[in-house]
Amino acid sequence: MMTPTPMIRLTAVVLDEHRQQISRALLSLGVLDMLLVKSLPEIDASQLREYPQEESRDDLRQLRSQLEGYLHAAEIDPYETQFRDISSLPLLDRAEAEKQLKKLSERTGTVRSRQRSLQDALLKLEEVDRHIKKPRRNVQSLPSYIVIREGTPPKGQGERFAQALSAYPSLYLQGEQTDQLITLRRDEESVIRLLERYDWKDAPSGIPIEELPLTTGVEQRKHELLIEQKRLAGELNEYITGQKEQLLYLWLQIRVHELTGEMIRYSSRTERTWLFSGWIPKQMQTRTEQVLAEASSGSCWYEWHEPTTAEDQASAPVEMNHRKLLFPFQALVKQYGLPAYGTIDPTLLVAVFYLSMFGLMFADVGHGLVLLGAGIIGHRRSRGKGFLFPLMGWCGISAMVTGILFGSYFGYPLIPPVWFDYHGIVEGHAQAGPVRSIYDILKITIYFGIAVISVGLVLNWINRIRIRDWRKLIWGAGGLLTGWIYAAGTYGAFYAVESGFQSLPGGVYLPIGIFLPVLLVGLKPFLLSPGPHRVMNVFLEWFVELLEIFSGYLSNTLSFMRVAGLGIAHVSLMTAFFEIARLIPSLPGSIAVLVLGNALVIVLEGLSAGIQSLRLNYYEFFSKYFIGTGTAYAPISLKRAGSAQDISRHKEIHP
Amino acid sequence: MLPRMHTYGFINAYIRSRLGNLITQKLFSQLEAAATVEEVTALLRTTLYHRELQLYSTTGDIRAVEFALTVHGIDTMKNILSCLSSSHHRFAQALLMEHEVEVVKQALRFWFDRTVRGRRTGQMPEYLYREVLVHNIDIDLLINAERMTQLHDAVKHTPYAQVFTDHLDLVPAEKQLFHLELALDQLYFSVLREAVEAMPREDRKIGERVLALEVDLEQMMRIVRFTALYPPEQRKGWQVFLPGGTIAGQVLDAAYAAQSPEDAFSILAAGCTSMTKDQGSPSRGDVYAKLSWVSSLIQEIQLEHARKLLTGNPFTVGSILAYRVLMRHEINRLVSILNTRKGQPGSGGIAQ
Repeated sequence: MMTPTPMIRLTAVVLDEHRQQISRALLSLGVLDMLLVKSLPEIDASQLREYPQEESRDDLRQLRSQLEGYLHAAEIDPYETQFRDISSLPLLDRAEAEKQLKKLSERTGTVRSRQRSLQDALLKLEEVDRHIKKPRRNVQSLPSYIVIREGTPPKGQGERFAQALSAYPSLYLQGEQTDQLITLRRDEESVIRLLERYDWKDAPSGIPIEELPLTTGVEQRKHELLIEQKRLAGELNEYITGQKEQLLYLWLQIRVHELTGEMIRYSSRTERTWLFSGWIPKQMQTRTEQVLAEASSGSCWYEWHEPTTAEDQASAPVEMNHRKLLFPFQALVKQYGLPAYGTIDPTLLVAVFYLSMFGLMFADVGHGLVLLGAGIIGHRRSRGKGFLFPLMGWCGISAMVTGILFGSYFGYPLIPPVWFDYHGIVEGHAQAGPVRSIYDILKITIYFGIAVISVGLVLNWINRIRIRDWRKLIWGAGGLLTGWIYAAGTYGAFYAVESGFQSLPGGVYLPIGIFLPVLLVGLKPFLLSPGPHRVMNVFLEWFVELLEIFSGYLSNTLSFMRVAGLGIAHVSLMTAFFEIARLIPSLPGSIAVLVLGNALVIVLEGLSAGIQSLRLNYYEFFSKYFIGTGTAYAPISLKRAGSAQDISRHKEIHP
Repeated sequence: MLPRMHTYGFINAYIRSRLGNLITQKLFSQLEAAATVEEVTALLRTTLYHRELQLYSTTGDIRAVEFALTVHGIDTMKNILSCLSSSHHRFAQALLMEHEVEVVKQALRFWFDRTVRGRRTGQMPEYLYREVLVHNIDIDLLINAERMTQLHDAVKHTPYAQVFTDHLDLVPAEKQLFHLELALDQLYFSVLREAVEAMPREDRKIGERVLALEVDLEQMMRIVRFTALYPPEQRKGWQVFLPGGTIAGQVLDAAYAAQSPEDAFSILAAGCTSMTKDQGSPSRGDVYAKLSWVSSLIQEIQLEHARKLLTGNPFTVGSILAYRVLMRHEINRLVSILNTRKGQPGSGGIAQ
């Protein structure tokens, strides 16, 4: 929980005749993050051979990508599909696959072509429509770009006439007595030729132009075209959905072929054996052994390597596998970086610190409830994707808890506070109890900051011990010497404040608490890299390092006062809105101010508190210990994440 | 400093958030390898252009997608520029004029094809940006004009009026829009240069640098293209040079008088400060391959400068100008990818 999932490296040798069964079994299991066999330290690469390249990986990827394009058009996501056992899946017949895709392509092409014709007709109609609707000087005047005719084409020619007209932006309305034809003036020459060819007879009905059903006619025709366009899109959708099973089956064949090819690229061979290697989460070790034994009928040899050396640990992939509830905080950590293998995964601590900071800055039960509601609705609407809405929900809960502690309900002290009255303190009312003034609130946040930074330092020491980096444990940024100086400095600062800035602790405080670690920091170059050193360089390095420790840690600690600052701003804003509402004589006006005020505070303060909490976590907490050099765990599997195409994110194969 | 932060703080946040959404080179490679528009649509499903690509599934029309992408680009620039303070109003309008000039040119091409050439191109006037960008231009009148006077009326009270007065009457006789279009480009660059000169000092410095580069590269592309496509005697006397830029007049004259695109390019490359000595020369392939080579090189230089600009002071117009280049490049590349799929089965191109 506090470190990434433990990994173990598998190196296996199996008979080449079992290659297909084993590769498929491992693909189904989906846990093997493959390593290039030739690059393994224990392997003598000169004894090994490569498998011949059967097919270009780009060709296969393109074939799959093309199929995914059609599936996506029908909103089918093959990566979300649960597939049955792939052990007996027939091998990909490339020619058959291409034939199927060609058929699909032709069908799609036909539909697209019809859609495009409709789109052309629709655009022409829209142009006519725009001109009809163009503002006119008076209702009788014709829009200058169109020509309206009334008349009749010869009997039985209506359809062919309409067809010929479709080459131009036009509207042809067939009536009982006479037809109406609207064309563009710019096409007049061609239209007249067309009318002559079809023997159009002008027959004005005498109805004033403004009473002609032009707009209705255009709208109706547009409506028909849009429905037809929709129908065609639906038709293609239906066609693809109707073949869903076959297409998904084809996709699976291509994908399995592609991924097994990928596995082959990582592996090597001898005369009769297949060698492969990769990282597996340790808890999957037994299951993997079973799968290997079943797929090879027991004819396999394998060995497991724990990542004990620094080299192994550097190459081991990192999987952060927290429960779904902690997913938003895991995402926050990942945004910063992946922790190096074997070091602390701070997700749980980030959850605690982030929510505490947010709650202290945004303490209100009502506002928290709104955030929680928005988080739940957003999470449902986004179909559980993303981490922002769950994070919002968590922030809402945190705000509600601190709201109860400080007695704030939409800025109103509905129920007495459990801890202290934040509103009362900010408004300057005398308080009983340990927290009485704004200075006390500031003090709480400084204590909180010291706690966060101290935890960060301790985590750094744990990380350094885990990766056996003894030098950085003692002398590194955030090492034991820094912790020593920080502890002594904090003690001295509080002592000085208590004494009214009159004195510092006496006795061994200064020699042991400050001077000794300061001196040890200065000795670093001599102890770590023996040899001649330039005095000036050593002195400068020492000076800069001390400056960094003293000023850096002081500003880091004081930085936490922003938690109090934003909390006070939150209370002040609510107080201001209540005051404005009180001054408004009408009740609806007051309510409107309160509602808008609350909304504004929720949006602006919520955003500020969220960002500031993140900033404090990243800069004041993470910077003390986080080693973000981890490589993502990307097992080869049928799922989207960690699939073959993503492997190239962190590993390049150079066969 | 504070007013600058006030002006550019939000713009920068907006641009930086969009920079993270730029299409990666890896995705572009996949898009370029895609066989169908459906595949392109699927690959772009998580990008900012998802909605525009979805249009294809209902219309089957790549032009609809292209138009939507163009509108996306224009609207994004309008949004960014609307956040600039009033002291940059002229500059914002000048930048938008780039799109306006393009719309005017396209509308003129409709008119030209119909009246001067006497043919229908199958292009759809509905795929023209209609909203007012800077000036009130009657696009419908430009497309539908029956008489030359109507064309003049369409751009009345705009800077285009003078260009039309100077060049329009020659169009029917010359049977080409070429000189009018060149003049429109020259107008755009002049207006932009004046607007840049009117900006506060720090912005002006960056604006002048970016504009000079843009003019130099555009100038270079034009001269190489003209030397490749027209014999020297035919192109003699054409007013092709744009105002601004750092390439000296005599270098431009010498390059323009060159016999071949290779010669023109070498003369220009030697006289252009944005070029390095080892960028090579367009010596392989036919004339189009050479032009494509120069075009790619110019694009690369522009992108490199845009990326450099983004690492500079964020509280200047630099980030806007840089993002403009990056977005324009991205949209042009997408349009080009879509266009190469016009003839593929499934795109509807063959049947048409």
